[in-house]
Amino acid sequence: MKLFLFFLFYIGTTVIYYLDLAFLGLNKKFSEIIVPSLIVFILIYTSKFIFDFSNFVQSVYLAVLLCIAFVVLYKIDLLLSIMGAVLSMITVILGDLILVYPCSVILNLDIKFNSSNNFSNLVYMSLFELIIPIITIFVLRETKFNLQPMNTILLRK
Amino acid sequence: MRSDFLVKSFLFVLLSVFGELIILEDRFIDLAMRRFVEFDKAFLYVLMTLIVFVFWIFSVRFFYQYCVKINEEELAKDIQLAESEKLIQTLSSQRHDFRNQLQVIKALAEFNRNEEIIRYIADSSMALDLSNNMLTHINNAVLSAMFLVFSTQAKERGISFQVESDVDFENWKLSPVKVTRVLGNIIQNGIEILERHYAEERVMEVTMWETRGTYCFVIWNNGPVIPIEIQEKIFNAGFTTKNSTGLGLSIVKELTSEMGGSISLKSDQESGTEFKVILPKSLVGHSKYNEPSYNINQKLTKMIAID
Repeated sequence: MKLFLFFLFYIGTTVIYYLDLAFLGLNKKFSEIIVPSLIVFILIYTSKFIFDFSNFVQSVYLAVLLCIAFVVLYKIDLLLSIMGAVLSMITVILGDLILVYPCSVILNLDIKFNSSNNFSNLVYMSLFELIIPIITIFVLRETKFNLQPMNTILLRK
Repeated sequence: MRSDFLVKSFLFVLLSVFGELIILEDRFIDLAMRRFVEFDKAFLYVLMTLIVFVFWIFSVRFFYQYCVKINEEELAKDIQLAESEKLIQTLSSQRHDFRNQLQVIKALAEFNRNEEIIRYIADSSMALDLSNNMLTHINNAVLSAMFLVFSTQAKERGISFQVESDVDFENWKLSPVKVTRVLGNIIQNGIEILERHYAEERVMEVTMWETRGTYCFVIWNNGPVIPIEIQEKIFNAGFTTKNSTGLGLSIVKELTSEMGGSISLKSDQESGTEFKVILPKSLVGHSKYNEPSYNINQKLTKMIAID
């Protein structure tokens, strides 16, 4: 069960990583981001156990990690990386917020955000909180990824 | 301009973060409910989430525009670089050509063939006159350099390239960089299409004239007809029929609008393909000018033809 949860959290980190790429207009294959997102995931969860961060600090920490990863791996401008990472985190948090009250599915399932460590609740929450980021990725793919030169422009800097 | 979008995006990011923090900290909503409003907590929560959602949409939108601007500026730099390289290439080939001609003159002089020298120089000076005409009649250095580059390119590809101008460049106030980007993109596309087009005679004509408030440019070629369904999409970013970025004509459209002008396309079997660009002479009150009528038989006071 724990392994399954870890896998779900890893998928969550990968989606956030991919969302950040989408905000910056970078088109990468899924296979190319498996390793970097795994490194980010390991760094997040080891630090969570070691330092016992609160959710807010955890989000800031994830944004910083994403930012560093993008600057180091893709040599992207620091300002763009920061904006991309912050926008990704805002999107994920917004996704969480939208799911708490307005989403009747969550209400019917009687899941309260951040209030239960129950396995099934965690699974549902992990899946539902990815809905908004995934929709955003699809929308961005339809618009920004059409700017093909963006890839070469950002990556050659 | 570019940083404006980033600043706006950052501002909305801050507002979104602020809104999210307020929502996540339940006590702020409790406080607001106690002091100011008497709504249901869930309603207030939904309202706040919607506001944050709107902020988020704006931040993403501005960030996207910022990225588009970076994209365009980098592409513009690439285009300018490519144009400069072409100009250098043209000048080097001309230098090489002149050197060869000087060697012929030297050889003729060594054998005292004076009459042949005079004939040879008279013959070469005709070729020189063409580029001189270009530089003197179009008394705008950037535009004439651009036409010189394209005329050489067209000549190398067996295309007849003609430039007709009735514009007084003395009072020219438009950005030469923008105008060369607009015209250059269209001419470049036309040359590339004509190069692949099999016809007895392949011709490209650039006609420029001015009215009281506008400059008009018509770029015409007798290449293949552009189908109606492509004509509708041709100015869309990313649309291309060749293996390219598909941004050239969208940049042209955007730059033309930026200068307060308009661009139109007409393509049919009888009259060929014609791009017509109309730009106001001054940016002030640019939206109030009328499109002048174009008469192909209009007598042009200056004409340059490069074959």
